[in-house]
Amino acid sequence: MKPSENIFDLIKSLSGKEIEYILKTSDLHKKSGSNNYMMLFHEALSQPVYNEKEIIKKLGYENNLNNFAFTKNYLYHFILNRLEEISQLPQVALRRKINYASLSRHKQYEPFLQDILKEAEEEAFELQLFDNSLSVFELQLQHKKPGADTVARIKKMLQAKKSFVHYRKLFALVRLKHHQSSFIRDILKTPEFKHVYEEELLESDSNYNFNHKIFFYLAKGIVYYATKDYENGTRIRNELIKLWEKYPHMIQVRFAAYYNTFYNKALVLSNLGQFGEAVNAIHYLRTRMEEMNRGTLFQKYMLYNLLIDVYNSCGYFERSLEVIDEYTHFRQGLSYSENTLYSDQQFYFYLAKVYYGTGNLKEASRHLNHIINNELEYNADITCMAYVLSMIIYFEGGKTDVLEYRLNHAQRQLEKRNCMMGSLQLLTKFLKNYVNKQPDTAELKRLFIKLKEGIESNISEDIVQQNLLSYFDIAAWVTSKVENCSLADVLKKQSGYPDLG
Amino acid sequence: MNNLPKTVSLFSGLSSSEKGYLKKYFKTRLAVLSPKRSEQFQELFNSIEDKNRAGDKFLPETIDGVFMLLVAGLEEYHKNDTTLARSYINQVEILLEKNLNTQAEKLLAKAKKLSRKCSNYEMLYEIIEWQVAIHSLKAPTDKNMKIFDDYFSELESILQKQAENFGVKV
Repeated sequence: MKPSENIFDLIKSLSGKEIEYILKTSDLHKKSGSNNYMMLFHEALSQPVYNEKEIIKKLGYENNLNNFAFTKNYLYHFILNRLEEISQLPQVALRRKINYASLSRHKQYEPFLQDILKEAEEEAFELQLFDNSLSVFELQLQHKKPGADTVARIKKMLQAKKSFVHYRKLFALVRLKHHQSSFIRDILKTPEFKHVYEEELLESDSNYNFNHKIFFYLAKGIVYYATKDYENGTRIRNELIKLWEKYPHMIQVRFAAYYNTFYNKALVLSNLGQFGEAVNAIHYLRTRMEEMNRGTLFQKYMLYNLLIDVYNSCGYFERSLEVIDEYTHFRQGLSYSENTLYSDQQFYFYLAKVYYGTGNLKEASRHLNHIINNELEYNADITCMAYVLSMIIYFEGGKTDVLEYRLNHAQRQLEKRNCMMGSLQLLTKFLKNYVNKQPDTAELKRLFIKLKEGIESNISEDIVQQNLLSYFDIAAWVTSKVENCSLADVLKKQSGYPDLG
Repeated sequence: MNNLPKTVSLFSGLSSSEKGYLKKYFKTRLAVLSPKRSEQFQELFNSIEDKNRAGDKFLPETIDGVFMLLVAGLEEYHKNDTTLARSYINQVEILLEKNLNTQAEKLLAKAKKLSRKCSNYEMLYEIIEWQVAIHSLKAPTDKNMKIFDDYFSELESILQKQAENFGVKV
């Protein structure tokens, strides 16, 4: 059985300040020299890849593996305890305070803890963390009966929690299933949406309903995005932003919702073709994350994912190239469960586009092969467009022999996935013609003009084809050949952002 | 408000075992402070320990800092299932910030077991909320959607129990 690497992953995730705190507070049980668990800490810290066997040998645990397991477990919880002590997250600080206040269960400490209890009560109420509020009430009420005022407050909190369950469920459901068109088509008729208590959302008693509003607006925003109703989506997003501005202290508490608000803003702006504004929204969110020192690796990765998609969409491949190292770095740090097939596909496809756009055909091809050869398939559209881009790269690289050989295979793959639509049929026909006839420059240009006209008339009113080609704009590529310029130039001109600033 | 009499009074009422633990606890936590601050803390601690010495020359923030350190140490000394479960929830939040989701899930399971054991519905509710948040990152398979429904049903029943506990109707 493979040894658990939890301790190693935890140690490797520590910041310099965290390591310093752990080291300085580690000698509680020290008699002389270093603690056993700290020796394990140093060994794990020094390894680039976890090698438990080597540590066991080095620290002399070969004949006492149980002892090693105990030390490992002790160190794990020791680190977590220390991290808890210095965490600045508002909910962590509040729970820590409640734990201190819980000493009041011991009669002899109670008189000394009244201030802490009061502070915890006020903080929990301000942050609308009603479970923490109720925990404080429990402590306060252990030796006395609640007054009518307290009972009324408790009731309001429980009612708020009841509504919150409804909106939290709605959000979770919509977020998980918004890719499914049948779900989205009927979503507004579902009981979850029908049972939205609009009057409750509008109630003036805002001390209790911030969380409802956030999750309801986020859920509705996703529905508008999925149904491409960007106008209403924008309206909802503005409501969300107003809420964050009105309750800035809630940003730290509901950071994921705050992140989603601005991520969705950038996503919608990008879909509306407002690339400059989308880039600004991404930078704004990135700056806020840095200022607040918040954001998981996954959130950072997704932000770069979006940034690269925006740059690629408006032809700024060189900008994408500038952030490619950070993008790759964040992705490498993701846990196994977050490396989904979809994110794998997107990652390799976006990188292939960046390299293609900056003229590095070899690297572009290498990344496309990750999708094609490893059968990374979650989104059939991306797989099909990977085949298409691969053909284009063979064409541009002058590898006519490989192109000839690969064309039939690619065609079969597109047909298998129901992607062989008009524009792609025209493209494969064009490439076959090219392989068979090897036309001269003038003839090639004529063929490109014909292809351009064909594709444009094909996609002008076909939303399905437009969606498919949004992964790689073949029409823009053909235009670049007709106008004898780069794809980047065409996309920049087309996007209306000749200079992104 | 001057917290010194309160701090002295709290310390003097402790058992010798508590005092011994706090002494060690205090020592390790001083190591992270600046030398000057550490010296002030130590001096005040000594004056509290030895009731004969006057403590009125200390700054209010030093007195507050020492008081909070004593309380934190006492809390660690008296750790029980409820406070341990609350600590686990804190650590889950820290692990999630570090993207260590699988580890967070394991710790949540431990916290859930403890909260159930001490029938702490407030914490159970928080724990399930975190489980929902982690579960949201998974693919929407039928199996996962079923787990979702289970979580939300659990939240509803906990809410009911909380209302009963506080004697209110929702």
